[in-house]
Amino acid sequence: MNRCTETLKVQDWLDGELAPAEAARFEAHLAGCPECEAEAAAYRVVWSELRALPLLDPRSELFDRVMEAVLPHRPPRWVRVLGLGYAGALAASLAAIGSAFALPGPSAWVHGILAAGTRALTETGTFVLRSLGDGLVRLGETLAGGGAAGRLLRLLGGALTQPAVWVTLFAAVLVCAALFWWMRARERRGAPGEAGPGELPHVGLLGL
Amino acid sequence: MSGGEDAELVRRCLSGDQRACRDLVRRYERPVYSVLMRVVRSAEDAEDLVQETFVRVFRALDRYDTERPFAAWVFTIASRLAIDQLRRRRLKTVSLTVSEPGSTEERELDVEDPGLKPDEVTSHGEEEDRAARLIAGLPEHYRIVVMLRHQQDLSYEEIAEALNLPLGTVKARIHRARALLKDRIQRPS
Repeated sequence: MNRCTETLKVQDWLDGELAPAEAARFEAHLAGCPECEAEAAAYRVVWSELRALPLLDPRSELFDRVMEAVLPHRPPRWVRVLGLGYAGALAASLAAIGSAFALPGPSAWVHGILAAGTRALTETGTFVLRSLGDGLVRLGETLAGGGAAGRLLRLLGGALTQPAVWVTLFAAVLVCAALFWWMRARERRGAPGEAGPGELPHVGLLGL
Repeated sequence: MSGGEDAELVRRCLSGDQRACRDLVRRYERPVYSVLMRVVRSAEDAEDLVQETFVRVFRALDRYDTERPFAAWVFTIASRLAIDQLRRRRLKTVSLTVSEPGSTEERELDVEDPGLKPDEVTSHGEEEDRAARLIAGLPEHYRIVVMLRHQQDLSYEEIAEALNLPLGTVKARIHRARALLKDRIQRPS
């Protein structure tokens, strides 16, 4: 059976690959050629089937896996905070040392303010810790009537009045406060596809 | 997918905006996975190839020519990876095509595909199932060109560049694939 040679153009015509003039000629031919019309109808079904092909969904973990492989790795937040804090302290120290050598000494009134501030801070700390120590000693004496517990509390109160001890304790309290602040509950920054701000609270180490 | 939006996302990615990188991956993850899954027909291999595609995309992002469609570039990388994967697999099997002497046309051999069976390919409605089965039944070198042409709307030229094939070969494969599909639709058995 001789087939119409124009049927070879059906795919190109459906694909929009024929030049306008050629497409017009083919369409005129198509109107009078049952063989080409049947071929075009059959290929229209193919086009329709291919259009029905759905996009497939990968597993949801794939996105995180890809991002993990693609984005530059960042150290954990606490490492960055520690690093930045250290770098800041180092820079401040170097600047202070440099300025001590390079710049003239502070004027008398600045010096006076710094000295007064340091003295006031020290005296306040001493007063608080002495009061605490004395209070503990008195409490111990009252409760234990001078027994073993009272002696222990007196010893503790005495230790607290030593500058080395209370300075250490004061620093420990500051570090502890900073640690609690760092562990506070806070919200994660929203990212595309992730829960937005307020949807997924990041719970701090203490679950606060 | 708009080329202008892609170019803007690429520009933001290159300036270090991680949100733009995420958006770019979100935009192309499903289409790339779909093409790869239809071609390699193994979810595990397709996922590995998606990851490798994006790693290569981001590694070469600063060399990407923004005059070219981003989609074509991404599918070029994905297609080449898929072909490499099929080649590695084929080392253990036999060639699925033979060339006729004196012709660039290829003829398929009837060899059973080791991948997923057509009814194992996940899809949704009845119509989508039928389309998926038809695609799954094509030889792999036809599947990839049909997917790039009909699901990703790449031009013949872009497909030829992506697959590093002569334009004539790409056209011949697409025509032959559609002819096979037409025959299988008309004679489902």
